[in-house]
Amino acid sequence: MTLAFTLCSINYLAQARTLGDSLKRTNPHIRFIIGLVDRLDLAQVPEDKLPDFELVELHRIGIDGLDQMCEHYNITELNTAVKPYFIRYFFERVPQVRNVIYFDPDIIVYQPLTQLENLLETNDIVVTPHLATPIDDQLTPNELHHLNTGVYNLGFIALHKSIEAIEFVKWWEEKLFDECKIDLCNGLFVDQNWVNFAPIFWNNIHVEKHPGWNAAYWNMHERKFSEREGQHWVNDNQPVVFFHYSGYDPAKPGIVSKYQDRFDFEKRPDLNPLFDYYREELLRNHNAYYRQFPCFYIKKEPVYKYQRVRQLLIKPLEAALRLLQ
Amino acid sequence: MKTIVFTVCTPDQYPFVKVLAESLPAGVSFKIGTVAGTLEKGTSLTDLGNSEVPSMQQRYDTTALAAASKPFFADYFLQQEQAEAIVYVDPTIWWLGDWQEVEEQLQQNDIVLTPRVTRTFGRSTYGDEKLFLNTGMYDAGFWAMKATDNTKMFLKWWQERLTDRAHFDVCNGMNHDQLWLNYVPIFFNKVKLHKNLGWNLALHNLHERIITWKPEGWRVNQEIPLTFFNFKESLSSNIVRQYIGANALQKEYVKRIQAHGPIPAMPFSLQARLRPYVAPWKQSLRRSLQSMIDSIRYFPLYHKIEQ
Repeated sequence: MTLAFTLCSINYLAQARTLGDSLKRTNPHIRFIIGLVDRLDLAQVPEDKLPDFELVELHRIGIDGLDQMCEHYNITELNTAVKPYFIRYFFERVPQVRNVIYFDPDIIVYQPLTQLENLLETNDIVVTPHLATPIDDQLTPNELHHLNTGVYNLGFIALHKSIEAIEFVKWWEEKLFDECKIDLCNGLFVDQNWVNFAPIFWNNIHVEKHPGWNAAYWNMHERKFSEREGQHWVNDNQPVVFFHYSGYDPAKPGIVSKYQDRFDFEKRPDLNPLFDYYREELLRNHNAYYRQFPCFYIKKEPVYKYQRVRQLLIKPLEAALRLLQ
Repeated sequence: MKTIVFTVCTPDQYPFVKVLAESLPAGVSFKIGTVAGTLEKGTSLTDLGNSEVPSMQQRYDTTALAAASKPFFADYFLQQEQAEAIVYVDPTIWWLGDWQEVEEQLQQNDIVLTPRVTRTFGRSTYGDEKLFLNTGMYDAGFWAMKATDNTKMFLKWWQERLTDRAHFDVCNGMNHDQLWLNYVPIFFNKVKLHKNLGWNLALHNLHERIITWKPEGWRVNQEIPLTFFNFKESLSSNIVRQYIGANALQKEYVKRIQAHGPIPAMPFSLQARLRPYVAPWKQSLRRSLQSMIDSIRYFPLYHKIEQ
């Protein structure tokens, strides 16, 4: 049995439902679970707004030291840090699981995942690179950015239940327990940069470069889209298998992604059908409604009083510290 | 297969290059590229005739310039010699083992790279795992490639990047030429990540590779023949003393260098740059200053002033 899951807080449930709906349409045999980094009991989401999909809340998967992780991490870090913990939970606690696939909530699956399931027959881990071919300009994001943050995109990873895969997941858990930070100068970028090690420390890793897999703003330079016979195609004749709408907000429908400055819908009208569809799906799935829920795990931001006085006091100390560097 | 081996050095590093050249098997065609000066037996970067060179010389320090010039030299030597394959080795490499395996790897692959470490280790005296993440997964001190259309694209791609993005600036995705190699197995075909533990030993992987001397030669983890060792970082570090076998090997190497002159100074050590030694008094003073700054900066947090 293949299990697919995503991770999000209540405010992203419209995205998670959209992903779930797409899997139900294209891969009805795959069991889909939403891993919720939030507390349903405390948020009081009305019954009719609960998704039809299985939900597993973070505090129920038995992470040792979850409190420490919550204390240590902000919401982005926490959402990414728990990924391997959920994977191992599914491997160990869900009977008959053979494969586990993780998708970011802002992904839509457009095709059967037959090729992926075949790959998992002979590989322990399947990942996709951000870029399959070079990008020559220096707009954002370019090749340098991924050298700091990871060459594989961890909005997707698929694993076959095997000794090697479980070993990898345990190693990843250990790393992410306290080093799932954004600290580029020290080599850290949440869960993603660590996975650069996967093909080095383990042998049975497949890196899939199919242009229809994990298509997103970071690789649109090498992928042109089209729509024919009710299907989405990439580079003329390859099907779009899953598209990653990272950084897209249906409330700002003119912006491809808030994380990039290379493309807009005017330069790339081929993107319109893919994004029009996504926007409609999110609106149908009550995006605006879910967005208002604050996440249970968000820490209160401290209020900085007497900012100026403190700044004055700090100045000479900082100067002394610089002298010592 | 007609294969060329080349290195890139500054003129003062010539003693290293001599030992390297002596250690290579007879019959291997060896070339020397130089930056920041010339050598009688070498080819200078300025002689290559690439239009990018003057701007690179202005932009980079010697270490970065030597690193950035590798794909330019590779291209030049391949054309000049009409060779079928080319292998880059750092001047500080000592070749101790079989050459045949390099040729075999080149028969089957277009590009051969070596990962800097091969198994999880958490933390070693060199550093921890994350130190490799923003410095490069594959070592730029050794690489081998066959001359094909695929590798022509690789060299061109690497040249374009190293023309202006070969600084040491790990906060911005740069570690000379090395971090770029992370892309090579993804962008180009027929790339082999060769995990032979006898290849490319260096300070950063000694924790996973124990060296011993046996009657049949140097061995790694008891039985694997030691093929080559890169002394680039270990020569200027005390860490190597913790490894008896590696230390003994280094002493042998140093003797050979000294036969050609004093040991050249190494201008750059990755480990020292990332984890510089700080005197204990300085460290403790820094810590107390930082904690004073933090407690003032985060005062409201400690005192739980709410909105």
